[in-house]
Amino acid sequence: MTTLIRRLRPVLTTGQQKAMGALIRRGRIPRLGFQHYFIEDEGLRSRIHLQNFWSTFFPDVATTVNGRIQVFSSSGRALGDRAFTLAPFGSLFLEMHDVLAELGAAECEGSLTIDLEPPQAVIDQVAAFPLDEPWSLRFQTPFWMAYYDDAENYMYVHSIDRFSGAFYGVPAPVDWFLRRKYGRTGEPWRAGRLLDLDGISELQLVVVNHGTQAHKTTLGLYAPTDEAIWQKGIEVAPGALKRVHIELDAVRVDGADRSEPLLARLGADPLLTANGKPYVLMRYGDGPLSLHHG
Amino acid sequence: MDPRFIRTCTFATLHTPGYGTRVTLCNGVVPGRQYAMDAVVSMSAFDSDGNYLGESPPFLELGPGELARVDVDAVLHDLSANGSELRDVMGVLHLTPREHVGKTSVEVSKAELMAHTFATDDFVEYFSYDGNVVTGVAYQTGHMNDSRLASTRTTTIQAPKVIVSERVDTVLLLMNLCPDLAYDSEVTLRFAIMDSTGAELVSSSVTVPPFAFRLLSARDVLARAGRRDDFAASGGLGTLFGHASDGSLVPLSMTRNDTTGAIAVDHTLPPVYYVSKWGGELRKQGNARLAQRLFAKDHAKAAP
Repeated sequence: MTTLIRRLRPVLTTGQQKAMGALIRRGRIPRLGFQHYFIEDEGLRSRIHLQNFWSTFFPDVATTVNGRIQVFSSSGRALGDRAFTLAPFGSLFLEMHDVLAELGAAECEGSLTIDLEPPQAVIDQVAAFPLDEPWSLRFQTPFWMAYYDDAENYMYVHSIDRFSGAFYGVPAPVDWFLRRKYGRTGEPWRAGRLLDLDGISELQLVVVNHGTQAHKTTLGLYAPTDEAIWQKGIEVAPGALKRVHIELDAVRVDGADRSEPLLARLGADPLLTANGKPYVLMRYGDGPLSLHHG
Repeated sequence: MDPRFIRTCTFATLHTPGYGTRVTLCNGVVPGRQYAMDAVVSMSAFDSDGNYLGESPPFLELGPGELARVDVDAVLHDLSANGSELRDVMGVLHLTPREHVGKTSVEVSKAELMAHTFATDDFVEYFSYDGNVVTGVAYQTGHMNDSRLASTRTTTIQAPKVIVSERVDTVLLLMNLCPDLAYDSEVTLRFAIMDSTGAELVSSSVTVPPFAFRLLSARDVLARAGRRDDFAASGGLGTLFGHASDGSLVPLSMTRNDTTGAIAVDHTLPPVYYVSKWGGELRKQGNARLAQRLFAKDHAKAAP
């Protein structure tokens, strides 16, 4: 969140801030979705988990709310929309294979974004509230995806970076203005987790380009000292994703006589967008496949 | 403040459920940045009642930007004074600036504390003693429940991740921590589990002593309330809404397969992820509304 505000502050002039503040006070509050990964492959299934968070913050507004899911293929092509409603304190638990079937799509992986509209009473309350820097107010719809296999081995991952394809709730010119500031390439990144490569039998990375431009990056496995153990350059189209298998036997080839475990962390130079960390599919030994943020 | 709490990583160990703990610890303020430090690492442990068990000798040094993986079980073994096994503890890894090692109190700016807090997450990894399950979660606990840093202390949880079936349970791990060893406040979380329609299946509360953690099993909560069959009939999926008005808890959700030992671990998302300006008076008013809406009847029941 601090990243979002940091990124907005230098790009809005004082006049733009005033105009945006006035717009927000009139109830036109920009809304952002998050773009998240789904997979119906490798023995894994994906299920959307989203609660009516407007109930949490405004439980006195007992109104059913409307939401919309947009689904994209792995190449970033729009596959279609699905509308839904949530009762007060209700939740959406929706299997992606059902969504894909409704859309007539045969994709085994891709991405989706969700926008959960606030009730008008919530908009009115927030717009009238005396906020510092009201021009920076944003509503967002983060959500979880549960990934699981037939044996009910679960992982769940929260959406991590925003969908830069649309700002909802504002006039089209404002949507355009805000969008053009979004989806830019992020910083070089290293994961905060050291992996024991000796114990891992399978390792894949999934990189989603949350931006509106094609971006290049170099994925890597790095020693704790940041020496590169494995690297691969990729380019990802806007809204698209790539899944990359890391051949660990090649990585481990010089480690036969080691007494210490071969520890490494994942990295990307740079992230495709501000917080677009890769997803990691990983298996230790013959254990269940898991899926995490990098 | 106690310099050992300038930069910490706090976690629970899960010996009884059958997991060891490793932590990838990162001294995240990189060379050349303001507040970069050479850190000396030690670990404190607290038992299930929050009693202080002691602190290990320093066992690691991390320069600015460096990281290392800590074998928590090995540190606990060394920490045990009489050879007895330390199990199910709340652990605190201290990254103490080298120049402050041995001091009992130093003056630190809020900016320095925040620099270390926001520089990086730590990765807390759980591995099964029996099998090939390795899982974990990246998070940063910050300086919770410190009245010097925040005027109000509350917790709001909304976790649409309650999954219960014959072989799966979802456990909420709640930690009550503070960077001041004199901290002595229990925190009580009131919570409700709702089904997908927003119907409340159960509401209850859990109290967490200072410097302790509690594991809240959704399966047990539903069973005690006689609502497990209802939950199953509604699809076995639900959302936990929770609120504490007397302190901040660190919540992690864990969905565990009893047969394979696989665990999905994740943190919840703070309110600013949903409403970017959620803070100050807006937050206070919202918290009061939530407590009134969900838990007013519990207060009424408790009244004489």
